Amino acid sequence: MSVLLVVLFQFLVAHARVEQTSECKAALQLQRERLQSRLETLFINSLRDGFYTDEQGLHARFNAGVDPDPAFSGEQKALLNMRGKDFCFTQEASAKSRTEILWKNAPNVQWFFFGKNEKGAFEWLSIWPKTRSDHPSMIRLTLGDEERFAFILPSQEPVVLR
Amino acid sequence: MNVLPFVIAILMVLSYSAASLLQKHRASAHAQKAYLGLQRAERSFLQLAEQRKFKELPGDLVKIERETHPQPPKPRIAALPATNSACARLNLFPLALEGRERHPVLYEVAAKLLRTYYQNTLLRQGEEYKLLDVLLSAAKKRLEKQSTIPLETIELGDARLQRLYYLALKGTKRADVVSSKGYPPLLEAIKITNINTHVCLHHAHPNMLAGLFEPQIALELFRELHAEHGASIGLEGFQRRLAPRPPEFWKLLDYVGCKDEPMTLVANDEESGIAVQRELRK
Repeated sequence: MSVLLVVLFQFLVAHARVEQTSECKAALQLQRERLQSRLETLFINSLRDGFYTDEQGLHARFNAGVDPDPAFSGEQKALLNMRGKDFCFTQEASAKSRTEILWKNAPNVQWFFFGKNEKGAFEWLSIWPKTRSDHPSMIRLTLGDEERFAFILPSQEPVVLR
Repeated sequence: MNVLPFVIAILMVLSYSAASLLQKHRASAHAQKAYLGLQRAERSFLQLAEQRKFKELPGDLVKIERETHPQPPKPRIAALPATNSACARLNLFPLALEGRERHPVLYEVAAKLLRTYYQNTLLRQGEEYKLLDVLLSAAKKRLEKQSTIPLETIELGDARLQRLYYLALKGTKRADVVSSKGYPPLLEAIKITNINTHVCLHHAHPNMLAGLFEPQIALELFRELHAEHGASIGLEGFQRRLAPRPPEFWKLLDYVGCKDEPMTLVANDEESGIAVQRELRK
């Protein structure tokens, strides 16, 4: 009887450990998927002007569509930046703002934009100045050393690769 | 004797943990399926957007000639548009600006549209007038500063109506007014802008035609409007087919068809049933 109990108990402990590990992985995966789909929606719906980077972070104007709160519906300003240790998405309405944590404990954030340089050739740029009126064709986001995300935007013109 | 309850207790614990594990796996698989479906739909949208953009690029179109076998011509059946185009929405601007006393026909048409779409799903009997009045008065306040008001940003000042309005703006995933399945998004049916546009019947979705005319003949009208030789029913054709209406009603419509190309693209992922609807950037 005691042998049976020991075997059962060991099985339950092993099962609990495996479950805990898989839950952590699943939560991480969900976090990745949420960030990917949230930013994809933001970038694809972003408007022609108001897309730029500065010392605060990445700014974008986008169409948020229909939200239960009318203040956060339609055309909105968004800011993507680090707040403390978290990578956040802030929606700035005229009188109020709404912040969503997209990644907890992100070591650092780096943006790369695939677009034309001053010479008219396509390359990866680390800043997108306010003076530009176009959008990059692709955006890469790096959080720390391990997490990398890519977003493809509807092309404004074909990218010719040699 | 005492072993049996013990074994049963152990089996219960095991079965409970197995059931909870299965539930978690199912929830995780569901979330994963939704995410992958969204990704596929997003990719389809990108392809559609690029096809549209590349058509506008300058240059000669390179055609690849292929051997074709002559086939008997098939009757052309117009595909249902994914959305109701911006040019085919009912403009409530004059109503918001000058009130229903000056535009009684437009007021009734808008109320009928709300009634046809939302009567049995969102709104109680007669509530379409209440929603319309609140919407128009909220829009009027903003017309002093703006000439075009995005519908989704209008605050009605009544929590219950605001919620109904939100649900109406969103609509259901699948909506067919003709067969009373779901309800269409109000965002695609009306607009408030000072650009004096008529409702373009050629770009109208059958749901819009059902809201303007009788739902029973909406599909028939749609097919006739998109018939093979670009048949144009025209004002007389509509007047002949439909019950008598005041002259102001016919002035709200555009029978010739505008040249605006729809800017909204809809991409579907059939496997997961997820659809992505986005406005193309101008």
